[in-house]
Amino acid sequence: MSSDTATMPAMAKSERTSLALNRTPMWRQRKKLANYLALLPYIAFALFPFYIMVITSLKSNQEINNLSKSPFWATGITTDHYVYLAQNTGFFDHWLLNTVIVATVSTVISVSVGTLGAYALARLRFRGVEMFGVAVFITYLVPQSLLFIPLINVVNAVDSVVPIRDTYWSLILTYPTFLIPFVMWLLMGYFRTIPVEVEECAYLDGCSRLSALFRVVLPMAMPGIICAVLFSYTLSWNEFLYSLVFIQDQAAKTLSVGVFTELIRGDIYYWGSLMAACFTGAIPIVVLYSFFMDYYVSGLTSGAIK
Amino acid sequence: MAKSTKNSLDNILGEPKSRRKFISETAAVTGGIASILATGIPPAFAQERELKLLTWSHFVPKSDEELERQLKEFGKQAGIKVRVDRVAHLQLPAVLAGEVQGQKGHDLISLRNANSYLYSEHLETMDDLYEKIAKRGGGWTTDTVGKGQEGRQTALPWYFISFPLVARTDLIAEVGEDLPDTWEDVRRIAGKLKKKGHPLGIQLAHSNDSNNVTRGILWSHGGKLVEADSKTVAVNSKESIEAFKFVRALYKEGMEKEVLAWDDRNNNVCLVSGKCSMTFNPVSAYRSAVRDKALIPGTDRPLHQVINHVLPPRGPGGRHMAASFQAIGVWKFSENAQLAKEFLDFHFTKENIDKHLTASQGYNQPVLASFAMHPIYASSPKYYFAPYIGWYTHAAGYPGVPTAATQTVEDQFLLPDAMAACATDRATPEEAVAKLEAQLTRIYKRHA
Amino acid sequence: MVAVTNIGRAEARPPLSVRSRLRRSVGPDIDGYGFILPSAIIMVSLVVYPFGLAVWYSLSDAFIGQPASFIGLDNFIYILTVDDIFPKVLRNTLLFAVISVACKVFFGLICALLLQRITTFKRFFRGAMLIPFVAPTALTTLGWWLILDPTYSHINWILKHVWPFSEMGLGPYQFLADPTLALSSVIFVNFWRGLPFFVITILAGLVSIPDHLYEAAEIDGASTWDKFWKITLPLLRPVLAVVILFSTIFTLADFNIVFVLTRGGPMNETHLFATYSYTYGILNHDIGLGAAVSLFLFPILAFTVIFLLRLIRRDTAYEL
Repeated sequence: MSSDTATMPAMAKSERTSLALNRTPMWRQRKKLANYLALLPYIAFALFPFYIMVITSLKSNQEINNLSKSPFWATGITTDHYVYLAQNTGFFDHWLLNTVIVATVSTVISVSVGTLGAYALARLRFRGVEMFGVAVFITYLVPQSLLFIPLINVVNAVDSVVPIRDTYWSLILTYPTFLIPFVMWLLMGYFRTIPVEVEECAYLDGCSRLSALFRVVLPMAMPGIICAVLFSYTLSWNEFLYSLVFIQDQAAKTLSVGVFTELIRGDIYYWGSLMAACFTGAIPIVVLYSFFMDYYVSGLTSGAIK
Repeated sequence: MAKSTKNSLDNILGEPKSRRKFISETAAVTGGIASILATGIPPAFAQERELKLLTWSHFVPKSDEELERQLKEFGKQAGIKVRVDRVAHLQLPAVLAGEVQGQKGHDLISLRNANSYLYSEHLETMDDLYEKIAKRGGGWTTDTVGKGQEGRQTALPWYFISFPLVARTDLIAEVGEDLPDTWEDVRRIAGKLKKKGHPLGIQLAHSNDSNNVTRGILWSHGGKLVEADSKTVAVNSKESIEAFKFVRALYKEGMEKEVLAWDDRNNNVCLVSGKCSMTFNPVSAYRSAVRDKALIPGTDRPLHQVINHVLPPRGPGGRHMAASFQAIGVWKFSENAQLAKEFLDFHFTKENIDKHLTASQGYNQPVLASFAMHPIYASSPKYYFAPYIGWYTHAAGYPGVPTAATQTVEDQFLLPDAMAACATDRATPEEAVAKLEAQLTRIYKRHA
Repeated sequence: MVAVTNIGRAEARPPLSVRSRLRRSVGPDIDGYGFILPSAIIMVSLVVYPFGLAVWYSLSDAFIGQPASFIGLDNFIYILTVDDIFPKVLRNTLLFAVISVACKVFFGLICALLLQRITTFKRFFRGAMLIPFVAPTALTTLGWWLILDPTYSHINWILKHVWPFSEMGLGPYQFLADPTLALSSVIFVNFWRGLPFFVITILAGLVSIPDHLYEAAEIDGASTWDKFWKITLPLLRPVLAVVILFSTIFTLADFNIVFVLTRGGPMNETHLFATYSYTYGILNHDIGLGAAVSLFLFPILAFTVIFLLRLIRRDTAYEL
């Protein structure tokens, strides 16, 4: 991994900075150390809840409820809560897989549809393009909690033709509503950063519009697309409300909703397993990010600003 | 800006070589995803006839399992597929609202207090089944549950989850007291025990428990939110003000500030951790002490041994407590309405109700007179209160029936908020009651 | 929105090649319709139509599952004049969004500057900072609930048992029970969740500022402070405007954090638009009122957007 990162664009500059720092006198070295020290509170702040999650998920119920013991350390480590998660709930059997499928498919749909739209908005000139641009932005402002009651009617209308209620298809249909405006907004900016001349050349070589898009523009826009993919994936992974309303079948639930259903029983909270689920559910997406982190950074920059 | 774009672009895109490498990596990932998709999407369409029941995730998983078993048994006899779906109790309203809005969803649904009134137009009339089951079970112990508009019975009362006083017998004995019988007893004992670090815990917050217990206090002081016609707001009375004054005293003498933020579970935790001396809760608090093998702090003795339940305290206005009443109904838009009713007939037999109750470890307290005396309640002194508490327990909306307005008042937690404002001296009892009256009036007017 | 600005300026583009000019004179890019068709279909059927329906609800006496009839602005009048909780909700939402976004900008900027300077363990530090943003909100909020919980209260435990706090005699604090602390707590959790987005985006902005500007400034003898005020901040302004805009939209519409942590309590001191509209629309079935509460977000968002767009436009002055 490290060799890849060294070649990464975002790194390149800091690499230069570090060289510069190496040549600098002692007081600068000390300043560098101060940087790390100043960052520590931030890191502690960001990771503190996760630490609590892990510790709580490893404690016995008896210890969780013992208020006199330190909440920050487990005296006896138990894997009971993870076992419960695996044996008594659909966490690993269904929910994780469902969430992956929903997030993947809706991301693929949103990014491909959004890419086409964004390209048209950024490059092509035809009547109505401005209006459509404004419309994209307005839809972005509509709060989700307002949309979901009317959306039920739409999902039901589809459901009477193809049964999608209680399957993840209902989510795959509805998630693009909040993903597409975002993807278009991000990519529109990104496409503008690509010089028009590149396409002109492709046309001169006899490319059609579509093949120019696929062969020339998309490869150049890859960081932006990766960024859009990651963001869409995160948003779908975290969605709660639609998933709650459209799916009640135990085997078709997604992660967040499934966890809430199975591990919160009336006024009894299975804290250990809840925290285990929280922690386990966050891992896949964290891994995903750690791979694409730097593209995310660079994709966001040019996409968001220009 | 255009120029800066190019500059930063060079920075971002880096060397052509790395770009190409990156693209090939991406292609590999995309291919992987494609293969997951190809194998991972099962054809999820099933178009057989299916009887579907929706309920909340019960405290005791076994209770839901027993319900599923009964539904399966019934399904086998009727030759259809069946399914039990669950959602967390706080999320059930959203799902029900969604099903009504879309006129599509389950066949049988579990309904709480005022749902049967709210969804009156969308629920099958149950009058005949209601009579039939009453005859079989020696009559219903409540006559306000499952009511729809125009006096129709739109759902069957299913069970209720009572709110006894849960007390630490050892702590109460330590201060030389008996288990409390009146609210004044509660106040005195709580005052003594708070000084020893063992306060009373009653939520004055946005939680269901809070809605129930604050109503209990109001009613047992002779106050009420509405008249028996379920329409006339009647909260502004001398009795209500007395109840508010009592809550203020109780809060200051016997409770800690944290009750203002408590959720339904916090009083359990407070009790199970050995801090709280008393609270009002279904038996789940006791059961979680058993499940978690909680110990009395500083000893090796199991905590559950010294927990007991007693009937809700008496006040100047009698002994009253609110509770969560569950009803079960059938959607009108269900394609299997007749089958669903047949299932209810099958479920409301003594044998099945008993099994359901046993599986729930006594939570699902029966609402049929002849089922109330269940052997499980004789199995332990902790449950002795159970067969009797039904007489003192009413649904929200008492002395009227729960209506849409009742539900709104509950969901906005107006009574707990008013009592909390009074307890924390943000308003005098008179002001708090007057403000509550104004709020109730506007809501009842809107729903009229 | 970026689209909006740029489309406005499209006429000012430098002249393109002969071929493209020819194409433009022959006619507009008709195939563009094909490109936007898929997204247009999805957005019209799944966003525009539901949104229109929501607007209609706000103007009607709609109850869930019942036929609705038009009642004009009665719902809005009810909220503004009769409902005594709504002013609190409005206040809470504004405080929530303004404080939270302000904190995110301030601390996000500092953290990004620090992150940019470090060289070793860079990947670890960046990754760790990002985690709060990517883990499922509904679940991480549960984690915070455990930490802020009145009964468990891990923070109070620190104050009581860990030196030097144990000497100070602080607390115990009622993070979710005290009205001011409760609002602060939900803001804090939102801040925790949203900070990484600011850090990473601002970091991306910092990385794209060309080195030669700093070098030139150093030759002119500028101090670190000068460099920050005269180069970094002005060049970051477009990035900041975009993240602020973005974050404001998410923060104003936030639902999960309050729904899990306080459910609007104590005494409605933490109710936000989203949770209050949920209470009306879903729990009370009064979708007319629910939609009306939600729609109040619109003017606030529109105002923020216009303000921030102006900020971005002004930045064209900083051409390199």
